[in-house]
Amino acid sequence: MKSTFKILAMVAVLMAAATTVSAQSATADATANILSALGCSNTVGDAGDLDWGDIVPGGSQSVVNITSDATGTRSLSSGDATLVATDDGNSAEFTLTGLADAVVDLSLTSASITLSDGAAATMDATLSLSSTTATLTGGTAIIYVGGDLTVAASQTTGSYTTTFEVNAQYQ
Amino acid sequence: MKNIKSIFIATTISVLLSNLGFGQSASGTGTGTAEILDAIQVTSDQTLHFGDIMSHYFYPDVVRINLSGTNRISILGWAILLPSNDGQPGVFTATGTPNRNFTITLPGDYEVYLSRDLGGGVDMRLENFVSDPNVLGTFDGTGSREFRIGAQLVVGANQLEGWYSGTYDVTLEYF
Repeated sequence: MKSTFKILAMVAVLMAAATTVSAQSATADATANILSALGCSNTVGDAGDLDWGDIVPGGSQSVVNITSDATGTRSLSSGDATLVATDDGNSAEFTLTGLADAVVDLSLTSASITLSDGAAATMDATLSLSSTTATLTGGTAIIYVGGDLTVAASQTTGSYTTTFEVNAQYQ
Repeated sequence: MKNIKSIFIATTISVLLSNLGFGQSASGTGTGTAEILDAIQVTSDQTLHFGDIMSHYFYPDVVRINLSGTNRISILGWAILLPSNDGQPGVFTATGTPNRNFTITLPGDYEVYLSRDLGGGVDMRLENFVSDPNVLGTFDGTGSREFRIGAQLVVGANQLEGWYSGTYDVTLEYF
């Protein structure tokens, strides 16, 4: 009987201590949302380039458009340049990768670019995105870049090129 | 000791957040290109001429200007090809962007007729146009290329004498 009493006393003390600690604590959720790293890559090869194709300048300044979609259709917006069929051009293609079903914002570092023939001749162009947002369906989305190229009446013959940058960010 | 542990945990969290920040955005670089070509220009250096011909009184004939071998022949053998003028192929010089290919489109068989300059008579039809190069040519390193044109002339029986002339179109396009 004596031993039994001592044990009960110890239990009582522990319970008291526990009660004291409980009164000072609070419970909160701890969460983290780990996102897949977002990737944005230009499709390798000619299909990845924004290409206005082969053009013969006209007698006046001309604007050549490439639609910012999968077809990358070329047309003469103004002027009288000849769009030569040997190269019909195409839109630029980029692949976005990341968290499935996430939505990303898209932008161009600069919508105005200047193509150069590597010497003194240049041509200005204005870029356009296929959309300003994209949903990564299944973790992937394809976007396109088109734009307007301004060709002067006396544009120097040659191959013109430049680079541009597309930015993507999780919303 | 307890303080040291707290500092270590805080540092770890900071590094994780930093890595997460890099993954939230991405950039891709694309290339914009365009090719400006020279306008193709064609100049005639020599007229396609079928020469002097004496038609047969009863039978029609076809006279051909060749691009190789014998310059001029009578297909059916009825007309007399006079040596006073043996005829000549049409010769053109085309200019464009160096080393680029181009196609040559020639007139069809019922598109070109020669008419008597003084009027009267029956028009003579041209057919079977040929070119050298055939169908496809390439500008040389200076952006120039000569090409020649031949054809057949349908001469009627007892064709009225006189000078006959007409025009034909040859179209060159980049290919």
